[in-house]
Amino acid sequence: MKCIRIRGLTFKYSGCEWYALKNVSLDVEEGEFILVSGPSGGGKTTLARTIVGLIPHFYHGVYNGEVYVYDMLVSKTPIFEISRYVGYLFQNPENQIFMTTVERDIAFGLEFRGFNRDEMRERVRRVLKILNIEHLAGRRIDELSGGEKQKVALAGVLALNPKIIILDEPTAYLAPKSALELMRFLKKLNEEYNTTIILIDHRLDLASQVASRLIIVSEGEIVLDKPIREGFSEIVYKRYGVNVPTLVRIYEKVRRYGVFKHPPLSVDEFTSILKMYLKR
Amino acid sequence: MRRINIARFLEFEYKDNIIFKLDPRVKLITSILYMVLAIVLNDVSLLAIMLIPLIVITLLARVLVKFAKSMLTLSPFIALILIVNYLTLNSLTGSLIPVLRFILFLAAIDIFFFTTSPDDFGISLEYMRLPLSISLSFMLALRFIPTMATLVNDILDAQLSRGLKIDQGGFMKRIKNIMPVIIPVIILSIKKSIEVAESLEVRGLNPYSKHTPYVELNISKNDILFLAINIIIIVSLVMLSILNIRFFCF
Amino acid sequence: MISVEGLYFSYTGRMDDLVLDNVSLEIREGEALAILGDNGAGKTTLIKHFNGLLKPTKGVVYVDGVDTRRASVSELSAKVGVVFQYPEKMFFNKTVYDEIAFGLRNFGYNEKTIERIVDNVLSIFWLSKYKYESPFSLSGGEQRRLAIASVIAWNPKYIILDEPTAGQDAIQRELITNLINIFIERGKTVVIVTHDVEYVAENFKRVILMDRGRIIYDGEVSDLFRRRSLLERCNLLQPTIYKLESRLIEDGILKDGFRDFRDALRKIEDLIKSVKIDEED
Repeated sequence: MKCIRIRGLTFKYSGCEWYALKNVSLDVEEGEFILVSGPSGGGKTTLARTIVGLIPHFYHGVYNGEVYVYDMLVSKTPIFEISRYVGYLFQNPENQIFMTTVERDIAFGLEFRGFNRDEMRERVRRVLKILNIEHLAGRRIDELSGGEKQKVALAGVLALNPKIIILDEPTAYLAPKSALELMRFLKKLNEEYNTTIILIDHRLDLASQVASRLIIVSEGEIVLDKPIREGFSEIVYKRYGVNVPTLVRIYEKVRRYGVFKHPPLSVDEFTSILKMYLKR
Repeated sequence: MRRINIARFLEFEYKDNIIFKLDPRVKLITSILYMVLAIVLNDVSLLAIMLIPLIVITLLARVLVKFAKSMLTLSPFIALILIVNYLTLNSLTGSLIPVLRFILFLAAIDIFFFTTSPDDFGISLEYMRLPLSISLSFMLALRFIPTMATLVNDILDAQLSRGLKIDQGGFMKRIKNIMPVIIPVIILSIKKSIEVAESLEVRGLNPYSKHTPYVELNISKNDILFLAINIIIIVSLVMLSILNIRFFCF
Repeated sequence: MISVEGLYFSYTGRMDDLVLDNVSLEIREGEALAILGDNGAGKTTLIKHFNGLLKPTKGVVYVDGVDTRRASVSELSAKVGVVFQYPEKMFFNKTVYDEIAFGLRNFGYNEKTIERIVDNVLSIFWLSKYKYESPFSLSGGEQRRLAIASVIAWNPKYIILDEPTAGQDAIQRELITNLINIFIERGKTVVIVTHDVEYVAENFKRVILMDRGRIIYDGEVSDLFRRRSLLERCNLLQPTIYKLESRLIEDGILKDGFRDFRDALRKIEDLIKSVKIDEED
């Protein structure tokens, strides 16, 4: 089932001379894990905003085309409605934590939805468990590390049970190991709960291990939209301004020997293919 | 190098003691009553006596040092009030009144804000039937004070590292030298507020829908005791004021 | 040389909540050094001591023999240029020219010299066409370069950069990497604070690892990056080529380790070519 359908989307921020998105079309099936990358200012964040409704309801401008999330036409549906289906996580945990304690912050979004206290407590308990942060339950936000804060922010988003989660560079402020852990949780959410994940990130070396589809947005257009491995094969030819993972760079140099059919995305994959080749 | 301490006036820093655990509504009412009292009382001795319960509370809450520091930062201002009033009124007691009022007023405010988290503040406003948009605005403003303070410090650090000198020169020069700090702070504050507004939107902030706070406020024995003691003190002082009893005759 | 001797630092001045705990370190002129560590390990706090923004609670920091407690931030900044994280937030001038001239004016250069220096710096940083544009009209990558340029402008001997590639896409990352390499080639002392292990693996030889206010490793990049548990303890991951190397050695495919990225490529290529040669026999 298609959870997101975008047709001919064109958008220009008001006061801006150039178009941030030019005639973009895109379909997303439920349960996909999409990695969106591309040069800064290329339109990735703009695209994400059009899905949750920040465009056109929060950011105004010249808007043409259609964006459907399930059967809701985003331009005609308030963000309050869309956010029941689409969760959105930003880069900086500082900007999206509003309370002083963990549980209260997770419950923040629930307080406006008409749940009673027991229902809220149940949901908070549930997301703490899913994200493996039950030990953080009684803690104060200022005691937490960056990675823990980002998980709390994610828990707050999850509490509403959204079917789609968009994350805009969620690892930007995280150290590498915390970043990898976050990616693994996203994978778990995707596999166990069939949550559609749209991850915007520059850290392709980490994200390539969890995503199934690669989309590159550059200068307002989708210049690449392929399953993850094919996507990386193409990057070898044309950079598109993205951080090419080290393994893919190695693949690029030894492609002509025909050892690897497509770019290996993990060290395990690389070594087992190389091992098999060398056994001959 | 001086670190910016303006934030210290309203900043909440968690401590584990009875005062912190009191119901925020009780603290709010008590603070407001003391503030009103500070304005209503007209006698130096009574105002001076009023200092006692407030200092006791700050001691119990272990925020006395913090309060003292904020008073210290404001000492030039306090001295100014003292001097201007003395020159106009020509009476020491007369000029002490506004000074004491100022200190007491601040003490009452600080007791509340030092010991109550922004979210508790927001909830107490809500329980007092204030519209959601107001309680949320206040809560968020308080919550982001430390963030803003860090921002100011970061900008200051960056500009000092580019050779900016802020302790030099006459008044006009110093004002000019603050521009490299003020302008970026203003720009970044605006950016930040947009980012936070965005976050609130996608989390489903809706000031028009029914709001069910996750936390339930409950009055405990300690709360009733605290409120009772303070009301007795306040009422006594009011009575003393009405009856015109003076302790020191000047 | 920057010399840190028994540095203890606490924001409250009390020894029971130290942010830096007995740090000692020598940075020789012309060196290039990377400082790694988890968030909160004290990296940024440490570099703030190099230009006197912070003064030691205990211990001493010397910059070219001068005790930082006896010099002002302004005096030290003339020699030690520090570029903080997301430096573009410090912009406040009407033009790119003024933004770069700001530091120069603070250090007392005359306007004619400033004009010459700014033109030169703009060309090094590929920003010449923006000379009279507003700094706020530049793209993210250009702003980052402008921010670095405005600190390099007065040609400090020591250049300290805190997460220079944070939030930058691939193209910009490469440009910044090239710029930093130019500084190193020109004999500047360069210290970067970063999480970007891949970047460090490819560009630096000496690395310092910090954990909870202490330096727990000071040595060769290739050695540190082989110590997986030490890295993970600090919330870091091994760069890909070292992960690869340890797997290949484990599986008996590789005997000697990789010296760097180019070496890794060569050795892997050689391995593959060796099969082809066997096949041709």
